[in-house]
Amino acid sequence: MSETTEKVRKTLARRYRAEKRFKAFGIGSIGIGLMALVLLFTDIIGKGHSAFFEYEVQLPITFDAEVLDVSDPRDEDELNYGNYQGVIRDALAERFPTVEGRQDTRALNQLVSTGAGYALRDMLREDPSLLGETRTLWLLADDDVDLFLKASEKQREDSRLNTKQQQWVAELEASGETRMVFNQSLFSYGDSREPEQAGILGAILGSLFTMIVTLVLSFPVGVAAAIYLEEFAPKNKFTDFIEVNINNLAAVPSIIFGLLGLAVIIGLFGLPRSVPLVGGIVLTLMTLPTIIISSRAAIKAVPPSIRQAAMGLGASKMQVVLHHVLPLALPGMLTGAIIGMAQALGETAPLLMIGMVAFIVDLPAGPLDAATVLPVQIYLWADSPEQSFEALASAAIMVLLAFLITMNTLAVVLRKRLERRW
Amino acid sequence: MQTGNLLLLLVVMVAGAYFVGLRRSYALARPLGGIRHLHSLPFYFAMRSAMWCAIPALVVLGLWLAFDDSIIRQQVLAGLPAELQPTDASSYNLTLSKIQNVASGALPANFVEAPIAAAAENLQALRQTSAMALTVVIIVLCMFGGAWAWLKVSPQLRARQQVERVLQTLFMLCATVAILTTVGIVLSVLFESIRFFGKVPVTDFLFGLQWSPQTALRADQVASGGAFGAVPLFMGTMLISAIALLVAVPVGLMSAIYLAEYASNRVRTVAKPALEVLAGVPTVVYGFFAALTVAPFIRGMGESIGLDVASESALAAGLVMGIMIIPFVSSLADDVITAVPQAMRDGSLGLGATKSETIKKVIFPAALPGIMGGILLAASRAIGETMIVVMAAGLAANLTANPLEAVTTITVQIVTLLTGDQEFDSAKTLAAFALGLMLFITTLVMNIFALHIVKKYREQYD
Amino acid sequence: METAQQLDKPSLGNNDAAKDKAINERDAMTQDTPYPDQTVGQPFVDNPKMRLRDVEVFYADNQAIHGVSLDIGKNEVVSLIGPSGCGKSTFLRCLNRMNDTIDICRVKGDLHLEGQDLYDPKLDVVELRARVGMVFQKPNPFPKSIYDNVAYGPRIHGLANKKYDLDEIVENSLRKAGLWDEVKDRLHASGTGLSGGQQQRLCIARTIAVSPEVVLMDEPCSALDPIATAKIEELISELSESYTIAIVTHSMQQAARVSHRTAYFHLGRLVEMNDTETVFTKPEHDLTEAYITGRFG
Ligand SMILES: Nc1ncnc2c1ncn2[C@@H]1O[C@H](COP(=O)(O)OP(=O)(O)OP(=O)(O)O)[C@@H](O)[C@H]1O
Ligand SMILES: [Mg+2]
Repeated sequence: MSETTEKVRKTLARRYRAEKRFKAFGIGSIGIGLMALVLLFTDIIGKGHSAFFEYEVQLPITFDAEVLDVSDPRDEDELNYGNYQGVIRDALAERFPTVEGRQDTRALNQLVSTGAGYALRDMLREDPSLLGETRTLWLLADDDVDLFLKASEKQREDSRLNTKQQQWVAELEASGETRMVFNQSLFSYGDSREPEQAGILGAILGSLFTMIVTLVLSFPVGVAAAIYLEEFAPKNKFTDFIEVNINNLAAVPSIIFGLLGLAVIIGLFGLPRSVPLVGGIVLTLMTLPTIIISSRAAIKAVPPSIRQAAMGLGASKMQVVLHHVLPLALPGMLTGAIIGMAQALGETAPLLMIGMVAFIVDLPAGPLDAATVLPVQIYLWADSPEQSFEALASAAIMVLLAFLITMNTLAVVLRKRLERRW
Repeated sequence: MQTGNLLLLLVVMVAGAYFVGLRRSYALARPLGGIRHLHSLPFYFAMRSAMWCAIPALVVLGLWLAFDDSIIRQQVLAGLPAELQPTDASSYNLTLSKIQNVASGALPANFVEAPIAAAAENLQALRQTSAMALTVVIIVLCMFGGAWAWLKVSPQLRARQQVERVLQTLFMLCATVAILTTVGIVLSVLFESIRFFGKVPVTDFLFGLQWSPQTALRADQVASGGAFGAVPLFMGTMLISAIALLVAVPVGLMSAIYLAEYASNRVRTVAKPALEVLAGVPTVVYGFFAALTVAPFIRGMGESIGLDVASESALAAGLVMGIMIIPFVSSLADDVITAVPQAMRDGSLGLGATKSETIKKVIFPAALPGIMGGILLAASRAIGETMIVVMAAGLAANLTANPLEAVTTITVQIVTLLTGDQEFDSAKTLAAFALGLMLFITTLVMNIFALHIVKKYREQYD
Repeated sequence: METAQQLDKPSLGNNDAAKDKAINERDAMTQDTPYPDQTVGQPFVDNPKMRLRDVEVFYADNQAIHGVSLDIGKNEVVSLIGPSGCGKSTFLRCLNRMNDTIDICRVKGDLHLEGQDLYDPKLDVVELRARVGMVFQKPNPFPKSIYDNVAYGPRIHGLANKKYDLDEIVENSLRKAGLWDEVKDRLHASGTGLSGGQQQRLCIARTIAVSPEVVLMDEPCSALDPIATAKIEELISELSESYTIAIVTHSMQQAARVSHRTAYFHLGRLVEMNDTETVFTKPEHDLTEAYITGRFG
């Protein structure tokens, strides 16, 4: 055995230990990353799943014309100013006849959401003959009641309900006068101060309008820019400068784009604050580099032979590009655009700058109505002190992630499906 | 006429111009014996007409809409009697919004001074006139453009070249949007910053140790300058970014190395996309996670071992930010590591080095410049990250290096200064732009430098 | 059939008649001449350094080496020749298990280094590669200083305890590689800054710094100019005094100049192996003759 072999042999054990250690670090690192992912998702689903359901309490409601102060349910004005809280109060008093004293009565009345009144009004509008009738109805519970009912035995001790309220609710629960239903308001309302009446529809519409504006602006401009840079641009300082700009813009913090929007689009051009149009423009400027870069890659992937073939038939450069290169590169461009849109959909910071953080109850009807977007809604709710908003924020996150996953899957599928083998 | 309707009209007229152009070129071609006797296809003649009809009108429309409001505003304000003339920026805004509210009917006219009401009427009238004039101008421009194009159609006309040239110019304009955006960013933060530095000396801002803009509302406090010392923000930003990098760099790097050099194909196809999911999660979600789960957890942990941890500790924000950056670091590192030629690996393995020795002693040093570039990019990410710190880091500008205390960052302050009610001119809002300038310059320098390193690195192995 | 095959061949521009003829001849040759079941010549020696029997190599389902058996004697230079893609590199890489780095590659057969089974699961590759070093086709110095390049092997293997020992190893290796005089003043300059020929000699120095018993060289001169090639050839001859060397080459002259014995590979099979002189002057097999007379390859 040679000297070398002997010496090498002596080091082997140590070296293999180092090898194992190194590998373990690698596995550990991946483990950390994956664990973070799992933790993040379980945390959010754990917090948010309950928000997809809400509790209702059952009460016999008498549509008493006098209490309601409604004589003709067909008169919209009267209908709107009706005292629905009154009939709910009466129903509660009837259900719990032993409750006395102002404080307790108030506490009792707090069990039902203020939103229940609107439900009664809508019912009456639908069916005017209800006036004077008594019906046993399921009414939306207050968010504290909702939390209490959803909580485990142990968590119930920390409930914000006072002891009497807890007793009443427990009584309702025991006698089957509470039930859990799918939280429809989550998908049919805008924001609200009351968690049980708050929904994400307003934010979803806001996001939708913002995304439409972004897509309509960024895709054509991005594709045109990519075509210019790949096919027409002469190699000179100016083109280099454009390229440097694109690469740098892709790495500029998003909040800076918010400052740009605030100072230029709102300050200089005088567009209104808080509207999806401005949000869309800002996000366009932000996603444009992504779209340009991916579109250029798609154009580059079109083999020169196709260009030469078309050129050989006497097509002009522009015809070659528009008739041959663009259709072939389009799938790749679309994938890039979808990924850019997914980025824009999750973006929050620049939209805070341009005032899309306002508390907006009404559903926006177009890109010029004040609105908020899904991520901003999450931010607002996460910041709210009431505990129920935390669950709502998680639920909104789940919806947002669902959108993002769909978009990214779409991009992947599109890429797979349309992938061309030259 | 409303802008929407006007646009619709424009579309109709452009379509008209297109068809007229098409018809005319066919009509010209017929006596010559078919369209092959025309210089270009009829399509190009039609497109040319449409462009002549649309482009001048669109340019005028754009300029008009961009500037008519400010011109009208100026006119209206100029018409006010001397005693109502606004003296400074805030009274300017106040007067203006009063007039606008009256004009839009939100404020009854009898609630305000008579000249204001008159101004509101003036505003309404001017707006109407402007809209009318715009409509007329647009229609006339369309007609003239279309007619001009129609007149010029002849068999020899190089219509295709003209159309293509216009299209190419349009493409180029789209490409320059990137430059315009950069210029816009620079100008907007620069201008406001200069105004800010007119009120607060640059040195106070850059070297001051005290940051309390919320209390610096009174003029004398602004002048005192102590309230706008940004050092605590710089320190806070660095602290949180450092924690983030401390998490992300080793984890991201080792993941990338493991996936590139050790993992079996099966592991790679699962683990790689899974890690990339982390990159697709919106930052607001990380912020939520940091503020509502990680921060309380760390605080609880600290309490259980007798440590006093702030509820908005830098550690929580930094940790979560680190998680966010892991995929960023690992994908950059992956690019860089796989760019090291196989020959390097073979050389080392052929000498009897183990895999980890090869990685540590050959691949890593070879990839170092690229990895440094990647880390620099990641750092610039961390510095500019907003939502995580807005939600999980504090507002208190503590000057500390203790990760268990609350610190604030540049981005957090920009958001707090600019959200909520604000006057556009106060030192408070201007300070946000000054911070934005700092942020922009820092990240820009880091990015340019990093991209340069990475590019040089790539070229080395191309 | 015949024409179709010709069309499939990538034509490299000038399609003169001579070339066409050569191609036809070659096609005829490869079709008519049966593969040898048995290697002709004398592939075996007494008391070999490496004893290789029935070696088969597969890339996934693709067999690249078909039952090759040969010996490599002590302090002998063996050259492996053959047309491109015939499996020379693949075979060479089996000898220090560099094929392990390719996931889809499987090796079968008996491969022994002085009685030690190379593919014994208990055998340590690190140790093996320290004994059987390899020099590659393209010079691949690490992006480190010249000194660190040469010191790399001794360092990882713990061959030198003191700086002084290491310096000595580096100097000796560089001297043996004939590079010392050219680089002694800039040992700490980057190895990638050398010329191609110098780089390749650096790689050889790097390999012999570990004092391997066998050195494998895969076309070590193919990226070099004639002068650099001459230097390396000289070096190989010198090295053969203390090392066993297996070298893959495309240059018949080179094989003739540096090697004691020559093996001719064809489509994954060992066709003929014999003393270099015999192979080049009196080839037994038609395929070998066709190759060395330049009719194809
Ligand atoms: N990594 C690999 N994966 C799959 N097949 C391979 C691989 N490497 C080589 N092969 C195949 O194995 C066969 C032999 O290849 P090898 O590289 O050994 O030939 P060679 O004789 O060294 O040729 P050259 O003279 O061109 O270097 C070829 O058919 C080749 O396609
Ligand atoms: Mg080879």
